[in-house]
Amino acid sequence: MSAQPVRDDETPMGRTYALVILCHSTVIAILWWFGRTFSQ
Amino acid sequence: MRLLDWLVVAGYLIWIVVDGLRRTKAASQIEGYLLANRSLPWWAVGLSVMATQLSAITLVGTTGQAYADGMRFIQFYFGLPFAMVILSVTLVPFFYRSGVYTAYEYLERRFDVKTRTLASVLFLFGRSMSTGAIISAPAVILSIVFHWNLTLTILAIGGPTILYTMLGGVQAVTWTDVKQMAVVVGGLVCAVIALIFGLPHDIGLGQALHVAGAAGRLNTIDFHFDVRQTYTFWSGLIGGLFLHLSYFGCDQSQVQRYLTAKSLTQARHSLLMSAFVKIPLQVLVLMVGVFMFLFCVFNRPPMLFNTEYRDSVEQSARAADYHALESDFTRAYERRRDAATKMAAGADGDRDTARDEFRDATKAMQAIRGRATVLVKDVTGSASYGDKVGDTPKPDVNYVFPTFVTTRLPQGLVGLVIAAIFAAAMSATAGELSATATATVMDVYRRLVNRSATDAHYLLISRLAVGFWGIVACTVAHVAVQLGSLIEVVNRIGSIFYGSLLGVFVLALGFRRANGHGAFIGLLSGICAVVIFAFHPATKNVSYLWHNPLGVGVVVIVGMTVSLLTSPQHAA
Repeated sequence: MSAQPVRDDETPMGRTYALVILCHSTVIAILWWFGRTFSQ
Repeated sequence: MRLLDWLVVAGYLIWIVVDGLRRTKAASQIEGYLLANRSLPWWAVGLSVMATQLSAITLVGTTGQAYADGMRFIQFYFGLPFAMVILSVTLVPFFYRSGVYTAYEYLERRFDVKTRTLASVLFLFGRSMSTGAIISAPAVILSIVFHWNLTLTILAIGGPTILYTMLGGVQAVTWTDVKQMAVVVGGLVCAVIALIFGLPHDIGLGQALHVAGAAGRLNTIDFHFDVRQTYTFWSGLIGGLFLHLSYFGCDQSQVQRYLTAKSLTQARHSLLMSAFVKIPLQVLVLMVGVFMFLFCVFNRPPMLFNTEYRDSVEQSARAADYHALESDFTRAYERRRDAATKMAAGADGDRDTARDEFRDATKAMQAIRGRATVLVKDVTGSASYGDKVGDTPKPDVNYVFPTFVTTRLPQGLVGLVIAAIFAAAMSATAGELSATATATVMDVYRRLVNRSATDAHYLLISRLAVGFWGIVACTVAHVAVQLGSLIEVVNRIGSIFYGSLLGVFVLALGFRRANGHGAFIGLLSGICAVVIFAFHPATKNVSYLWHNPLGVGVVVIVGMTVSLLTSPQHAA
C-alpha cells in the first residue's frame, strides 16, 4: 500500500543548480574576504 | 523575566498551539496526516526543512561558540549546497516518484525487508535519543538561568509540541515551523540590533569589527588540511558534504519534509532553499556571538557564565580564592577595554601598539579564566569543566547567550528571544516526532504487525506513536540531565549510523548488482567499522565529519563483495 500517485513534472533544473554553485562560491569568497579584511 | 516577557512567551505558545490545532481537519486520513496529501508549497517545506535542522542547542550553542571561538564554525556548512544539488538529482526523484512514506520503504523495494527494517530501527534508536537531547539542552539552560523547575520547563517545550503534532500531523508541523522560523529570525535580528546599539557611541561598526578580528573572532576560513579539526575548509567541504548527504537524504525527519511538497520540482526547490539560505542564516547566528564578544569587550563579562558552578565555588571554602581571581579578571578586562578603545580610535602606529596590548590583555583574561576553571573543577569535581571551546570553558559556552539576553536586553525583547529558543526547540522536536511516528507505523507496525487494517486504524496508531515518542523524548530529556556525558556518547553513536545509511542508498542507486544480503551485511559492517574508528585510541581524535565517508566506503565495498559472492536473484 503506497501513497497516492505523484505529480511528476520534469522541469529542467540545470540553471538552478548552476546558480546554487555560483552563489555558494561567491558566499565563500565574501566570507574569506571579510575574515581577511577585518583580521589584519 | 518581567510581566511583558512572560506575556510574549505565553502569547507565542498559545499562537503556535492554536495554529497547529487548526490543521487537525486536514489530517483526517493517513496520507494527509503523514504526507499532507503532497500539497504543500516549496517555500513552506523549505522553511520546515531548516526549522527541523535548527534546534535550540544550535541557536544557543552556536552563538556561544562564536563568542568563544569566532566564526570558523561556518565552514561546517560548506558541503551543504553541493549535497542539496546531488540529492535533488539523485535521491529526491527516486523517493518522490516511488510514492513512499519513508526513505526506508524504498530500501525494501530495491533490496529486502530486513534491510528496510534495520535502517528504520537504526533511525528510530538514534532519533529517539537525539529528540530527548533537543528538549533537554535548552530546558537545562533555561532552568538554571531563570531558576525554573526543570521538569516544568521540559513539559513547557514538549507538551504543546506533542499536542499539535499528535492532532495536526505533518501539516501542523510544517505550518508551525514556518511561524517558528519567523520567531527565531526575528529574535536573532533584534538581538544583533540591540548588541550594535550596546557598543560605545564613539566606536563605529567597522572599527568594532577590527577589534573582533584582532581577537581572532572573524577568522572564517582555514585552508589547512587536518582530519582532527572539524572546522576547516576541507573538513566542512568533504566531510560536511557526506554528513549533509546522509542527513538530508537518509534521515526520515528530513525526507518526510520534502515528500509533502506539491510536485517533484517543488520538492527539489524546497531542498535548494536551504542551499541558498542556510549559510547566510548561520552567519546571522554567528554574528550574534561575535557582537556579544564585542559587547563584552566594552562591558565587563562574567568570569564564568554558568551560574550553577559559580555559586558552588562562591559557597565553598575556596570563595576567597575565587574573589581574588575576580579582582584580577576585572583589572585585565579594564586593560583590554582601554586597549580596544585606543585601537578603534588610534592612528596606524598607535593602532598596532594598542592591538598588541589588546591581545596581551585578552591572553591575561584567558589565563585567569583558566585558573578559575581549575578552581571550579577542584570544588565541584566536574571532569568536563577542563575542556575548552576557544578561550571559554566548554560548560560555559551554552550560557553566554542566555546570560546576555537576561542581563542586557530590554523588557519584551527578553521574552521574544526566549520565545525564539522555545521555537527552535519545538520545531526541531515536532519534525522528529512526526518522522519517528511515520517510521514506526509504516516500517514496523504496518509492515510487520498488521498489514490489512483500515486507514482510520493506521491514523489512530500514528497519533498514538507521536504521543509515545513524545513521552519517550521528555523522559530521555529528564534522564539526560542525570546521565550527563553518557547522553553525549549515545548521541555520538546515533551520528555514527549516518554514513552507513548513506552507503546503503549509494548501493541501491549506484550498483545494479548489489543485492539484499550485500546491503544488510554492508550496513552492519559499516556501522561496526565506524564505531571502532570513533572509539579506538589511534583514531578517536579524527573529526566525526570523516566518519561519514568512511561509513559509505565500507558499506559499498563490503556490500558489493557480499553481493558478488551471493546469488544475483536477490538483486532487483
